Amino acid sequence: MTGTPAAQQPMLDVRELVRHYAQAGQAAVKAVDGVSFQIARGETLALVGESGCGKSTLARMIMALDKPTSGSVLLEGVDLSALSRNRLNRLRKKFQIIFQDPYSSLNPRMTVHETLAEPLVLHQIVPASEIPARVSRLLSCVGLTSAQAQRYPHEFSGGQRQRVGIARALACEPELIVCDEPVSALDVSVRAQVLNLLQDLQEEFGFSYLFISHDLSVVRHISHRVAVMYLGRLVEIGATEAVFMHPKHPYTRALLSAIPIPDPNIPPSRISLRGELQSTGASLAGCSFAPRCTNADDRCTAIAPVLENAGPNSRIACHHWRNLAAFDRGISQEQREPPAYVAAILARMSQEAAKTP
Amino acid sequence: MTQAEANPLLRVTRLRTSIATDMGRMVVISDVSFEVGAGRTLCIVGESGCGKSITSLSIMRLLPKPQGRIEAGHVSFLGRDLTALSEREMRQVRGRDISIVFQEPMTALNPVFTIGSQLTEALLAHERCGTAQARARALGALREVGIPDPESRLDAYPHQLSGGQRQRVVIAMALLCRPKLLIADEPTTALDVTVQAQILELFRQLRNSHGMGLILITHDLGVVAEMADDVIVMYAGRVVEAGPVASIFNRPQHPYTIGLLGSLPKVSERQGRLPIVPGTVPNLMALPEGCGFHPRCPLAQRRCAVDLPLLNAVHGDHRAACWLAPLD
Repeated sequence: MTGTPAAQQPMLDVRELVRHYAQAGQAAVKAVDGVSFQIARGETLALVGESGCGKSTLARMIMALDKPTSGSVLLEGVDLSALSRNRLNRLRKKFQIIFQDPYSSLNPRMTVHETLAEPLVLHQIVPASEIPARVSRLLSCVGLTSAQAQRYPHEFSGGQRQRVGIARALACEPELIVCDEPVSALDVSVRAQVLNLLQDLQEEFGFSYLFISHDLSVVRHISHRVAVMYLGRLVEIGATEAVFMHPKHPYTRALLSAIPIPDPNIPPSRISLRGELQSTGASLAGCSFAPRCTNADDRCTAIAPVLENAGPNSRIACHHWRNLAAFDRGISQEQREPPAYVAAILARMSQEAAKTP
Repeated sequence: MTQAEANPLLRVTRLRTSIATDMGRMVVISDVSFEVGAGRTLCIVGESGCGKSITSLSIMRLLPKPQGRIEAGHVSFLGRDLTALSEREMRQVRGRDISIVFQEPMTALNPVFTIGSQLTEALLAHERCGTAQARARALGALREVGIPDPESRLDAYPHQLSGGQRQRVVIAMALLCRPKLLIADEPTTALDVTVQAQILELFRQLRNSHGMGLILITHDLGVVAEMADDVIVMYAGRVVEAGPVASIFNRPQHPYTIGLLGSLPKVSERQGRLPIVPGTVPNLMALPEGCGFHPRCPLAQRRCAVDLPLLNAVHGDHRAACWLAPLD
């Protein structure tokens, strides 16, 4: 059989998605303004951008919690907006979300068992008799014990709560998980544990992640591809390695140069932006980044650039990306190996940690 | 460095603070000592519950009342012991000599007053200046922290601003009276990286032009590497490592610091799995005997479970509280 095998069909296909919010007496806010991308099965796409760029609105539309003004979201080729409410609700188990705040996203009056059993019952994942066994399995998947199933959220630490949140998403046997800033509320060492867990789970179950984060070092670590969003539009999308090492869009470059590098031997070198982040209400004829871009000219303020191919697996929305100087902030210097005694101690810590989940 | 030692802006000596809980009095920080010189930045690093924030609240005498209490130690600011001041004298110090910025911008602003009235309040309280002049300075302060359209923002209420803008207002407020020392507790954690870069740049400028001392409490080791002159690492209420920033990052001397630095994802490379520190942070009510880190430490020996290691010099100014230091 030749033709269009399902294996090549993207897990998620977002097409020209637009969400405008009407404002009384003013121009509509263009929270999301024509965004398209795909996520393959087993792939992690990170969506980065600053507050107000439209990341969360986009995530809500993908989760079918908000209706797009135009455009469509296709999950394994099925257009979510074309479904009846009933069919949509039945499909919801396939796409789940992990929230940022493990303190407010769990019901404080439900035990962990109840929290995890609810989706199992609702979506008829397993027969009632098998629910306790399934809850135990879910807990062990995320590194918790079945003895903890009878506890309430307040009895857990932040990292453990986030594990419960992950287990709840896993309960439905989803194929796509939207992770909305899943580790930004966690401490550094706990964050590493949760990131490792998310990667292990993906390896085991093969689902796709849409990973929304403003923490670029986390994004670098976990994602296969990165999409950079500015004021409702994608400005750059490409393989993680390419975007981090050879960013092409001026906004991506400014964003990357703003991350403090955890190495005091590297002096900070920033690309400063002009002016202020405008609100999405301001309707611009040209490139939305033009008012802040040091490379902008008349063409930029007149004509909005479209995402164009800029190499294999890389698309850029900029009139001038070909002419920009090479980007170098000396990040490669950071790849110095740690001293041998530090490496040895880290290795022993990881061994110990592997023994006791 | 030596000039800072002779006459530091702030010298904290063997500070111990406790908090009353339902289960009895709990010592939350012990034996915490450090100095901050004029124009210098000290970063306090550690995870939730390690005592970072309690340390800053103790300095400002803003511990929760009546539960919090400074049990022992001194906080000397320009030679004056802040722990001995009356509440009235302490109010003169706060906001004028020492300012503090907290992490949550939602709770630091009063929802029923405009941004402008909250900004000018400190000026009118601490300095002889008229309303018009205060308003002009408030405007300048908003501009400094990069608030868009500052004129209209002065008359806005906190709920009309985004989280990032509110945090910048709080920072503007703390800097209004040009304090000699700024204590910033996770000031940029809620902000986007480009705004964070702007705020850090502002801190740097004030440090250089006004000789402002800065205590930066953060879990972002990138911010530490960029801003700090000196670093202290806290674990379970104690300082476990202290020293100049380059020395701490290049040759860390406490296993906890090594774990903390190692578990950080790097923006420069994609690692397979992140190294992690085994176990979890101990409960302060049930601290282990000996070194607080020993149950999680792969190097722990019998002695570590019995005797508490004190902060001792390892190389020059670099000190660590570990029986096995130096580790290299």
